[in-house]
Amino acid sequence: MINFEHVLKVFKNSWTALYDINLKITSGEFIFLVGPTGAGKSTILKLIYHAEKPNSGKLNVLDYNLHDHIDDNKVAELRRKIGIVFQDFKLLNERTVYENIEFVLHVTGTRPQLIPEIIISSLNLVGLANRKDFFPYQLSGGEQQKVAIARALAKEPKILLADEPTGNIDYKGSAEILSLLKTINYNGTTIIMATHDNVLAETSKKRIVSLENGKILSDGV
Amino acid sequence: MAFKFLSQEAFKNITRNKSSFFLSSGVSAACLLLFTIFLVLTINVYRIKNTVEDRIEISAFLTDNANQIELTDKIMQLDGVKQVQYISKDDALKELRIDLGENSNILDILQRNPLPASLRVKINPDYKLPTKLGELEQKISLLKGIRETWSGKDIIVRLHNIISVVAGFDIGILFIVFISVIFIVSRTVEATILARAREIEIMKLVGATSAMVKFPFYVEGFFQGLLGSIVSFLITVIIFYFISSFVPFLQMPYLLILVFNIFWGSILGIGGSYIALSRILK
Ligand SMILES: Nc1ncnc2c1ncn2[C@@H]1O[C@H](COP(=O)(O)OP(=O)(O)O)[C@@H](O)[C@H]1O
Ligand SMILES: [Mg+2]
Repeated sequence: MINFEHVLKVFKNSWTALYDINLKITSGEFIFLVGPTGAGKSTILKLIYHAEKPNSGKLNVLDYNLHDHIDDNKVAELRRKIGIVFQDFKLLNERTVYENIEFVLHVTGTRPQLIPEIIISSLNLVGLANRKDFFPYQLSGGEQQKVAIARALAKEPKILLADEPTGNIDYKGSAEILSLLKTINYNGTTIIMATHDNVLAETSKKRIVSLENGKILSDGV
Repeated sequence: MAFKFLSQEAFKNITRNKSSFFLSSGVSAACLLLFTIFLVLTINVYRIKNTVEDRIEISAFLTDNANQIELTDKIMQLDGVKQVQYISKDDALKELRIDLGENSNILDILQRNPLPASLRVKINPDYKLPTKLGELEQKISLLKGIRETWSGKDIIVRLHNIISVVAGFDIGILFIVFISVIFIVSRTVEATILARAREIEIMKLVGATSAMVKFPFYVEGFFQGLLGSIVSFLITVIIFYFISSFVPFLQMPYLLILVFNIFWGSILGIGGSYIALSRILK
């Protein structure tokens, strides 16, 4: 489903963020990317959703060759199959929870008559259907992240990428987010979660890919 | 594509920053109005030229002993001559009476008819250019029995000059209008794009196509230009309404002016959006 072979990523300022990355992720897995700040976790996620291009090596995601040239419409198509959540949630503050999800569904070409039902069922999945008319600033950090997850799930992605999803959230909220992600994974979505919180990853008994200075140190359960 | 939703987004963008939208539409309207006024002017000068050209004929005044039948034959053989009509001294006086209307009684004090007989020479349309007309007039004036000729050639030359100056102005103004409308619209749309950076980022992350990302901004630019063009048209109509009582022969091709304004207004609005988008979104 995702395959990195000898992937090298050098940024424009000639900083090498990733050296010779080999990583195979199969459908239905739950993977933690762990490592200190600057290790290259976000860069790996960006390569997967093609916000960055590899400098050399091979990268395949859902049958798209991301090492070759790929046109913008193909990138958009790939991204519609991937859900992404971030540490800062990336919600639109002047729109309600409902409208945030609605926005994404419209701009990804969902049939309008299906949209209300999809929004309610994805909010039910994260347990926030009763908050649909709230604005993001009226919610706790944990709730905002759940809205972001609901928004990502609304498109029924094959892969869910989470970049430090618990980074801005207290301990109890983090535990809730993690258990929510596990439920989503249990229902069949592949999940890749980047975190600098080793403890959170280790208590989960999932595959952990440990990165440091752009290299994979270890990979296993 | 989600046209309806994206258009609603465009209208949200517009209402969120009404003042720049109206400012931009207003400047577009002023620019288009400037050009529209020149266009109306050009159309009217052109019309006057055509009317004058239609009426062009050469009057060849005869000496008292001239043989008008022989001269008519000779003139008919010249290139470009369509028809020759003999106006006797009496006919000339009658025409003058009609022209003078109720003032015609001043002619009663005349002892005898001072007007000369003449040949009125009608000309083919392609001989109505100043140079050809001049040559023809020259040939006629050299015939024996012709005292003098008159063709109004000078008026045509002057009209041709006016038209080329006005047309030059039109092109110059059109150029200025193009640049100004595109500039002001692109600046306004750029501000909207920057204000919508978050939405654009999310759209790209979730896999909206670039057409979807850009569509609302094209809608915004289009409506700026469209509103500008409608305002320009309405002001033109109002101006014309007031002026036409002073200058009754002035003509106003409403439909042409409307179509012209809307066409260029929307094209330039969309062009402004295009420039803004290609400057800010890669
Ligand atoms: N756009 C960029 N330009 C230059 N260097 C970058 C860029 N993005 C990330 N880096 C560098 O690449 C390294 C890896 O970054 P990142 O993947 O964000 O780390 P992590 O997510 O593990 O904290 C860091 O040293 C970072 O400074
Ligand atoms: Mg990071």
